[in-house]
Formats: sequence, structure tokens, C-alpha cells
Amino acid sequence: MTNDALSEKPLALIIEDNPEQATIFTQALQMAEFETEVIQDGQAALDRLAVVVPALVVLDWQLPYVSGDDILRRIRADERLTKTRVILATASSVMAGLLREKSDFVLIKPIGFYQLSHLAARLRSSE
Amino acid sequence: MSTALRVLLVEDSKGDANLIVLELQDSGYDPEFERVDTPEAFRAALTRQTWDVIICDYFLPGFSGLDALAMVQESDLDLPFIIVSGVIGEDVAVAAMRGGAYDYVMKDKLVRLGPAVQRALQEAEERRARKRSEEALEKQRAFLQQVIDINPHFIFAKDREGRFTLANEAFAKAYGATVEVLLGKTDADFNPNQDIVERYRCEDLAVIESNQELIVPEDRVVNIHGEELWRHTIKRPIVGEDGQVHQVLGVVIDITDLKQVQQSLAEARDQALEASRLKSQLLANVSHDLRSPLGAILGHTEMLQAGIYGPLSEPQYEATTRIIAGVDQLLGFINNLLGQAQIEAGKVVLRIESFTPEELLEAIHATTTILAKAEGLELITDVAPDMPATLSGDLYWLQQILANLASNAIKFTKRGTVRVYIYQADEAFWAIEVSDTGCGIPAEAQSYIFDAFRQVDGTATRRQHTGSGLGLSIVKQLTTLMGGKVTLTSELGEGSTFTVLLPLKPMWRETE
Repeated sequence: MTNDALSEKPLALIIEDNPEQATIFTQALQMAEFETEVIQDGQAALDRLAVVVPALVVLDWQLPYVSGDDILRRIRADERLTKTRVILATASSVMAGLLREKSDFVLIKPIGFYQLSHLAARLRSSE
Repeated sequence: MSTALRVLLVEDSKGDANLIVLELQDSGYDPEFERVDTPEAFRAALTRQTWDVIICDYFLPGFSGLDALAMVQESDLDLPFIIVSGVIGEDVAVAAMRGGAYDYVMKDKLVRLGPAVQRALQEAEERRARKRSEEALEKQRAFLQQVIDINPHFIFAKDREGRFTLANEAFAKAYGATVEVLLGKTDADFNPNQDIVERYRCEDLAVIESNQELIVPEDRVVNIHGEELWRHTIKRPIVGEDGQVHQVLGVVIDITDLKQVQQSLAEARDQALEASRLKSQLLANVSHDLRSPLGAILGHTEMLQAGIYGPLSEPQYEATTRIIAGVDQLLGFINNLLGQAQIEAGKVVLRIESFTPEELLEAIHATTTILAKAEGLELITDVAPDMPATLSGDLYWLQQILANLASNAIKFTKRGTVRVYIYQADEAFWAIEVSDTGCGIPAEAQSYIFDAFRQVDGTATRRQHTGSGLGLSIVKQLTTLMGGKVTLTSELGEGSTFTVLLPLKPMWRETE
């Protein structure tokens, strides 16, 4: 388990149920110098968010059991997580338009390795 | 002054006739008379000319006052008929009056003749006047009947008891009757459906009691054959001379055909909507199902290229670039297809948000740059120094506009440069300008180059390059939706410049 207090790198939580996609996100964020952790379902994500304070969350909008919307709302309601940046991943361009106001960034799938990596690196440098 | 009087005298005695004439003269008349004493002469006199009065003796040889009276009745002439007789009993007098005589005068009381004639003339005149007005009334009634009979809708009037006082042919026909048969009868006499009859009755009484018009825009009833009909009904109270409502006037329009057309239209519309919904759903599904594997292809290829899986040789690196370019084209095609579907369905929701010019340029940073590089082109992006730090608009669709223009430019440029320049055009507009050093667009093509895919479908041969033909059409449609405009300047062999002008203060209404 990652101990974010001891880690030099900021923590990025990847909440994504598709392992293929999670692998690409992990590599992209590691390239951008993030410590990464993959969580595959919504409930586990809520449990984990109650413990850690990630600098960045990459959140799949369509998750089993707990929706991306619920998780995003929980993050926004948690005072510990006010500095946490959220990148939403959705396959729907229509949803993307609607979600843009709720999160820091919305990326439409397919999300390229370079695309996420560049965005994460930019976020890191602007911290 | 004497009043002229044409008198037909039925009298066998010349003396009596003279007495009668004298009496009439005394009463102020100027009689012009003819005396007859046979049935033949009487009939001839009746047909020959017009008379004001007939004065007839009761007893004549071979002829009687009652016979003469019967002949007048037969002739259908409405002539005052006065019997003058020497000997007449009360029973005979009564019989004469019943037979149509106006009056009778005893010969020994001939002084009564003048007043009797006067009264008879007066009554005759009154009767004629009444007849004239009755005839006029009947003419009017017949005319009214013609007017309502020509009307294909049902027209009727009913009294308080529900009896028809007026009906037109169409209505009578619907009840399987004639107008004459219908009058005086009620709905219950024709329509076996008691509920419907009761409903009509309630409507009628409501109108009569309330003195208010009733309009039933549409409802379903059952006709005498048990068939369902849709009707539009108007019922109005008829106010009588006493100021009270005793009747209801109704017009019923059969709107069954109209309803059927409406229904089939509604069904057709529902089917079309359902088909359209299925199309959208299919597109969304296809889009989703394509995006996931594309994500794997794109992500892993980029990771390969980035050396995550170990160092690559130059041909291997080149290959990854080709794969990425292919994915980018495919993705652009999917986005355009979905975009076109959304535009066609009127489902493009434009939002207003703040973004920086750099965020807009991200649309073409990663893959399009690789694509340009793969084609051996230089892709330059520039933001004018006086450009505002943030812009307003819908970033997603603006990125699609830019991506389309950029990939279009790359597609049609063999060598040289593709330049994207973002600048402020004037006080109201900013611009995305995409220029290339490509083959240029012939003048005749410049007019239709923005037409949608389906419109150029038949002349697809003119496109030698790959692509759906949707890109520029979407650019144009989105720009128009945003209140902007697209311009094109191009010279064959020199290159093209597409400029999209967009309002600095977008006015479209933000939804959600």
C-alpha cells in the first residue's frame, strides 16, 4: 500500500474498472511523475478516499455499483480534498459537455497516453 | 262617395234583385252586378271575372243557395257568400253557415244587407292578408330548409321535451329517416343506444336551462348502426318571443375522418421518432463500442512509441506513428459522424464556458502533430499576442471545428506547412485561421465544399482523398450555430486559408 506521507511523488488515484484502460492511465501518470494507485469499483474508491488525500483523481464516469457522479460529489463535499484535482473520463461527447462544469477536466475516451501524460504533467507543474 | 262593388246575384226574381241593388246603393255602394239563376250561368259567371261578393237567394227553381255555395267551395275561390232569403229557418241558416256562407239576411230585413256585406268584405280582406303572410312565411321556411339541407353537417333544433323542431337532410339521413319523419320525434325514437341518447338529452337540457352555448370540441359517439363516430358539437339556446329558452339549436360535424388522419399521422410521427431514437441510440452505442478498443490501440501504441516497452528501432517508431495517425483519422470520422447526427437531430447543446486559447489548441496537440509529422509537414500553432487570455464558448465543439480544419489541411497538403493561428479579428469577433500550402481548391468547388456528406454523395468521385466529407460541413454548421461564419480563400497550387470567425461574446442561450 502506498504511504503518501512518505512518498515524494504526489498520489494519483485511478478509479477505472477497465484494466486495459487502467494500465494506460497508470503508465501515463507515472511518466508525469505521479505515484499511482488503481481502484476498480466505486465503493472501494469511496473507502479509499476516506483515508488518502490524492493530488489527482482520474475518474471513470461509468463505474459499477457507485456512479462517478456520486464519487465526484463526495470528493467535492470533503474538506480534506479541496486541493484534489479531478479528471473525468467519459466515452460520451454529450456527457462531456455536461460534466465540464463539475470537474477540473473532462477527457473523452479514447484517452491517449500522451494526452493524459501531458495534462498530468501540466497539472503537476502548476501546483 | 260610393264604393264600387262587383256583385254576383243568384236570384230568380228581378224584383228582389232590384231591391237588393237599391239596398246596396243605400248602404253607400256602387254595385256593378250580374244576375244569374241557373247553375250553368253561375259557374260561367264565376270563371269569367272576379267578384267582391256573392249574394244568393236560398230557394231557386232547380237550384238552391246551398248548391251555389258548394260550387264556390269547389272552385277554391275565397268569395264572401251571403244568403238572402224570404223564408229560412234557423236550422237551414246554421247549415249554410257551416257550408261556408258568411252571413244570411232575411228579405224582410234587407236593411241588414249593407252592414253584412261590409263585414264580409272586411273579413275576406283579413283572410287574404293572412294567407299572403302565411305564404311568405312558408316561402321563407322552405328557403331556410334548403339552406340547411345543402349543409353536409348535422343541423337540428329540439324543444324542451327533446322533440325535433328542425332538421336538415344530412341529420335525418344519419337517423335513417326523412326530415318530415324526424320532426316531432326524439333521439330515443331512432338511436337504440340509451347512454348516447341520455348524453344528448343532458347536453340539450344544460343548454336550455343555462341559456349558454355548449361546445364539445370532440367526443366519441355511436351512430344508429353501432359505429363509432367522432363529432364536434355546437349547441346554442334559442330564445323565444317571451325571452325564455324553449329550444336548443345544434350543429354536429362528423370529424371521424379527420381523427383517423390525425391518428395515422401521430402513429407515423411516433414511428419516426422511435426510429430516430433508435438511430441515436445505435450511434451512441457504436461510438462507445468503438472508443474502448480504440483507447487500447492508441494507448498502447503511444506507450510503445514512448519507449515504455523498451527502445524502438527507427522503422518501428515510424510504424507506431502510422498507427497513431490511423487511429486519429478513425476517431475524427467517429466524432464527425456523431456530430452530424447530433446536428441533424437538433441535439447540439452549446455551452458557454471560459477557456484559454491554449486549451483550444490541445485539440490538435498530441495526435495531429504526430499526423503532420508522419506526412512530413510542419504544423505551426500561434496565438496572437493581443489575444484575450480567456475566451467564451463551447470548448468541445470548438475543438472539433479546429480538429476538422487541421486534419483537412494536412490531408490536402503534400509538402510545406499547416499553420493554425488564433487572433482577434475585430471588436466583436475572434478567429481560428488554418492555412496550408496545399493544392488549393478550384473556384467552382468552393461553393459546395461545405455541403454535407449526403448532398455530395452522388458525386463522390470528385473526392480523390479519403474522408467522410463531413468535416467541413460540420465546421460550417457548428460555426453557424455559434453565431459565427466561415470564410475561405484559396488559390490553386498555392494553398488555402480557412477562417472561422466567432463572437467574443457568444449569445446563444446556455442550457442546463
